[in-house]
Amino acid sequence: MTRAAPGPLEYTRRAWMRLALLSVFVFLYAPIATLVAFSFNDSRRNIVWRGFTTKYYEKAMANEGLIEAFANSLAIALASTVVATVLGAIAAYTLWRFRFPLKPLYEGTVALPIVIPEICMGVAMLAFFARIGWPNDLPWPLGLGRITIAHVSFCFPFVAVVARARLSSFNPEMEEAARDLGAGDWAVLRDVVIPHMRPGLVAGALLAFTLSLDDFVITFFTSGPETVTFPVKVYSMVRFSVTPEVNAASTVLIAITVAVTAAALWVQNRQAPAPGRREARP
Amino acid sequence: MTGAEAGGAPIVRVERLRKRFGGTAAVDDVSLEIRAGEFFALLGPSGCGKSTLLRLLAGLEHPDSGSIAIDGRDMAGVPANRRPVNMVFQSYAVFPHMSVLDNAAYGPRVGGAGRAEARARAEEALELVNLAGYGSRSPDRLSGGERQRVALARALARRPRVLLLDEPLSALDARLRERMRLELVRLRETVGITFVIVTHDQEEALSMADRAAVMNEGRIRQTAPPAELYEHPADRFVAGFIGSVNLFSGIVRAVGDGGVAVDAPAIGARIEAAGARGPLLGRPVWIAVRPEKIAIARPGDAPPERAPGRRNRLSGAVEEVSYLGGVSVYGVRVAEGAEGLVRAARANAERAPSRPFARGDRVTLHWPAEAGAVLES
Repeated sequence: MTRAAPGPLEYTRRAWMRLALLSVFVFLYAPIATLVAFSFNDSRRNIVWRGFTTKYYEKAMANEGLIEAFANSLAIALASTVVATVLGAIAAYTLWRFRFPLKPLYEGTVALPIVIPEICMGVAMLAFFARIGWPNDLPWPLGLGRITIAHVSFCFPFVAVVARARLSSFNPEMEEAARDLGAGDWAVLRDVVIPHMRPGLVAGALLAFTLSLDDFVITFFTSGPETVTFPVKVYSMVRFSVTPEVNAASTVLIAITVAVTAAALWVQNRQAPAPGRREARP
Repeated sequence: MTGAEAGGAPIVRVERLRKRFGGTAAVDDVSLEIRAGEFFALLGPSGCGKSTLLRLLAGLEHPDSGSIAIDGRDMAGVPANRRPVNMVFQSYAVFPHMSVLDNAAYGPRVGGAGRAEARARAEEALELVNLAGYGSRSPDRLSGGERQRVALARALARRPRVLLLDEPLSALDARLRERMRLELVRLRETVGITFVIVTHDQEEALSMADRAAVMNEGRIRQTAPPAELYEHPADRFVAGFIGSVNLFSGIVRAVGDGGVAVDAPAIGARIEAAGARGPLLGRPVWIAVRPEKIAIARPGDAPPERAPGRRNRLSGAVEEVSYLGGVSVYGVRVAEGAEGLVRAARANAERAPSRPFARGDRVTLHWPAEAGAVLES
């Protein structure tokens, strides 16, 4: 039995396409795979493979500076995600629902932080905080305020853009139906609009979380000596040498990111059945 | 109880209502009374303002001027969520993230009813629309017809005084549409509340409504029971929008006996019509004659039984034949021009193997004076 020739849309059955796909995956994931593999390398210099060990994980766990930076990063990411999601949702709803003077200008301004070079954002943030004289030496969670504010400012546009895109598929008759059935402004928002936005908000929040967690440039400009985040800490470690300890710490970060992403996707799929599954039952 | 029998106080009273969108008047000086318990249709071509009028009643649009009173209360300044009306939207707008039961219970719940009461009212409403037992399903898993029933139940669970339906049947396929028509009529009889339906489909309006208002360009052209709209149209627009019609324009040359004689230059004939009102002598009018009221015969045939009443006679050649199953419509060329093509419908009462008239046949058309309606505009 011979196999039929590939159909017009069966790209994965064409040899050249498979090759292209393979090389894309190699380029994308080979560095990450190497990073993870070498975190188990029993060598200080970390250039040639010397044998398997987990001691660098133990070493990373024992590195107080690294752990502190990691805790800082998580706290900043969580706080800025919550604030960015709320602000992004409000911005998206405002842009979708209302007409007001200078709306195109406002719409463009919301998306501006996405396109501005990070380095410019960083410098601007530095200048801003210096100008208003934001105190440098606040006690722990408050000391992260500067970085958190900076993160919110570049994360919330992503939430707004994703949520806004989600709203464009909202049927305005849905809102009118709720109103017609007796819902006031707040009930309409709570019962109809936000449930519709939810997948967009989850996706946007996830994006904000990962963006905040691994941001280096803007954080570098806004962090003080007391407020080092994980990427900044890794950078300072790498300046001396790339030890497997750095690899181990990075692997933990990758694991967390993948886990969070998977969880968010799972939550999203559970809430909204995929279109293909809709007609499954009569 | 039909609207005509109820005859009592109007449940909806609209006075001199106006609503403009940009430069165009969507609703232009509309006055209307809808009686309690009747099935009322707003009928018109798309863009005639019928949906806007419905949305004004629901409170989803605000009028520029004029007033709306529902159940004796002035609705000025009353927001949509406080009006004693509920709407079934064209897209159904069923909430996709709620179960069927939660959809139906939404109105009572948001209106302050307790959990148990909201549930009871939702179940009662679902039963009314034959969806008992569907409560736990997700709207994603329903067909279009079932989703519409959910929208109906959701509106009925609020126990409105007036139910507004915006093109409720337009998204359904032909067979389901026919069934839903009968079901809507039955549903109205069961719940006894006033139904106001918006439709562009004259058949829908004629078959369901106790009364219908025909709208065009934001104005109501005629409000009457379906049979009156069909047999006694107020003007050319109504005559042409509801069913098909032959129109003959001409000048009234003689008046008498409640009838008129009109010289129609386009077909070079004098046409008589009964039932004219007012002084018409010398005025331009249009005579509207429905195709099924025109008899078609071969020139030599004996005149049909009711011959004595027939006073209009035209002859020509068959130019078009449309076989529609139950009836055939023949287009007969009696003169040049648009008015010269007269359409006559003939029931296919016999299972004849061949069509009685073919293209090119010479035929005579005749109809009684009573068949023609005299239109002044």
